[in-house]
Amino acid sequence: MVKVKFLLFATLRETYNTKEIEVECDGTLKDAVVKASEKLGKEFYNEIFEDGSYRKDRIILINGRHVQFVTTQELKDGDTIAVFPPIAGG
Amino acid sequence: MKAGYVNRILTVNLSDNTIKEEPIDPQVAEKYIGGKGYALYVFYHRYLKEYMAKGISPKDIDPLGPENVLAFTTGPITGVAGVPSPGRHHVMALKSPLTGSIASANSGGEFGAYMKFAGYDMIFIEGAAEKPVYLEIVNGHVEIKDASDLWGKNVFDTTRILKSRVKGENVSVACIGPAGENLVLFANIMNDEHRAAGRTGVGAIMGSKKLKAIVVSGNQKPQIANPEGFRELSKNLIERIRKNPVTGGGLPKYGTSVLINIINQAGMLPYNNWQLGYNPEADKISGETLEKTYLIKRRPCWGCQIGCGRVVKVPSGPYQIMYSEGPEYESVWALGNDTGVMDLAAVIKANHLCDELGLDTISMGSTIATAMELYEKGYIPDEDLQGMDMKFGNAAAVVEAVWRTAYKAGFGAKLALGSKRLAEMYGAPELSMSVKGLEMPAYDPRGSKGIGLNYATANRGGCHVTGYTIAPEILGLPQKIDPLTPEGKAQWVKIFQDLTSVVNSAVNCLFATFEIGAKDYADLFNTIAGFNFTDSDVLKIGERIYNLERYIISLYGFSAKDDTLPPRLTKEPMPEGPVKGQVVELDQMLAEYYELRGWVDGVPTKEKLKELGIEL
Repeated sequence: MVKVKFLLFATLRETYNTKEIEVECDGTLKDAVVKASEKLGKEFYNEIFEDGSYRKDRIILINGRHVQFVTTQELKDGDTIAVFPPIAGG
Repeated sequence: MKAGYVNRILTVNLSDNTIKEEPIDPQVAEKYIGGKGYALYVFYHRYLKEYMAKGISPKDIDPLGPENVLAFTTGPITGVAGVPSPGRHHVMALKSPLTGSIASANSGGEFGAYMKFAGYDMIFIEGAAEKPVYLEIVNGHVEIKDASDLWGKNVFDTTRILKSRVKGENVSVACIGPAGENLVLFANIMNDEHRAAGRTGVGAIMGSKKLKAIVVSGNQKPQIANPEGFRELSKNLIERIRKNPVTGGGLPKYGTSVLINIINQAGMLPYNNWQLGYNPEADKISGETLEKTYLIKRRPCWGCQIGCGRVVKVPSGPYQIMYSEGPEYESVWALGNDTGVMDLAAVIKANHLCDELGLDTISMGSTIATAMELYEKGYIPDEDLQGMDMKFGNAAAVVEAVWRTAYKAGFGAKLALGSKRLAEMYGAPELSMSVKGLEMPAYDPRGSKGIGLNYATANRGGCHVTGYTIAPEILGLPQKIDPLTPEGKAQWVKIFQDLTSVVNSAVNCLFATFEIGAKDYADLFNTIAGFNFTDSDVLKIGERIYNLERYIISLYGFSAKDDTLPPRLTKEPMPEGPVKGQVVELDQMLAEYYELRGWVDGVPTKEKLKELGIEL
């Protein structure tokens, strides 16, 4: 089991009423999300996944790297998963 | 040109007080649209060619001399209600005093729309007045008036006094503050009190002409070529803008500073003069925190459906300010994260002072940060600072540095030169985080290689909006590409640079492009102004504009040797954080980019110019 932390930003902070949440999981992102949903509510699973894969309209960074480009599927102890809804600026 | 444009260009010569008018040339409009593109055409054909014919080399044009030309421009879709984000205008000048390259800046608010209602698509300012003057333009009637009672006044007083003098509808003021009057090299031109044509020192150019302000007023609305077609198109575009989660969600709710956290989490928010890219405290100055603390409401520019502008209030404390606008992401970053200042109230105060006195926030913050690193590393002797404690994280020093810069007071006189000259003066040029002398904005390209290529090749210098590849590289718009690879970035940079050239010629707001694209701009030009463009026509026009601009700066002496990045970004691996170990592989990306562009040594070839229909 590994301890990882979700960081929530923008509207997600309001939706889930928190900036961050720590969970223990089996080392896969899927399990980390499942464990977080147990604390934050079922909808959190759908915040990340859609039809079995990552939502295209979410920016998900694992230790600062976009999840699409993270080569290893395994999370380590202390890893940070930052989740952003669609945002932009200049 | 019967529609879209109001079909009048104003040229005022402040040396001999002549005022001239001419219509839009349809052949120029067909190839360059308006705004930046049209101005570049006029710059080359009417001014640079003439100077060269008289034996004046473009290299010798003094940016603060009377031979520089300043232009306020709009395009065919500016000021047309129902266009996405139609209020902006684009300011251009032959040459920037900060960089020696093209001077170019874009601004929101009302001035762009109201300038058209006052009767003019574009205003060119030649020469220089002997004593301070302002321009008053009311429904096509133009007067040069004495501004000696305004000279020295801040942006807010100037604006309010002039607005009260003009009896009429739709009044807007563009003016300089003390910084522009004092020729601070990165002084800006403010309009509608808190909107900025920020970069490249356009305010210093206006100050060198002793032009304090332009006040416009009028009710001449542009005609529409195909009202039915435009009505349908507008409905469709606005619905898309509203439904888009960025333009219809994130931007209106949080404003641009919502980017602080994501860029920081991605390990590329420059911290302490770009020494690091991750700051564990960055949330203190984020859009989320602003929304919870000092934000009062949002403020849209004229006609805009997005409404990303901020109105703020700091009710108490040393940085109290009862009304201000902004701060934008770039301003928060430059005056805050880059200087290590985590006090959001202080950042708001510093930003407010930049607006009040007329200073570009990016160059201001970045120059202070360079001074801080110079000082901490022992390059600046204490006595030069005259008592200021120029250390990272010192909020009071940042706020003080702003007014000192505007008035060139004490150490401010050195800050007023910008980070490049400042760092050179103290013997550490590598500590200026700039390209072509323009300080780079809030994205470390070691975490996003494409923006690094864009910084190096943007015609006006270290600029992000010229080719905002952060959109695909970090934000996943229109699709997600890997930020850490240099592969394939050249084509993204080129296409973004070309489309942005169109946006700056339309003139439109870049934020609309989070939803609309080349085809939509073609439709807008066609229904409003009666053109017959396809989406590839529009992109070709953008490429033409970009190449003409690059050709012009080559006349100033710019070439591949100037398409660089500071050594920190190409040679020093990011020391910590999510992109630890990364450098920018610039040479590799440049080679591919020049090939795509058809440039040799960073300059368009004769064949390329011919292919694009650029006649010299």
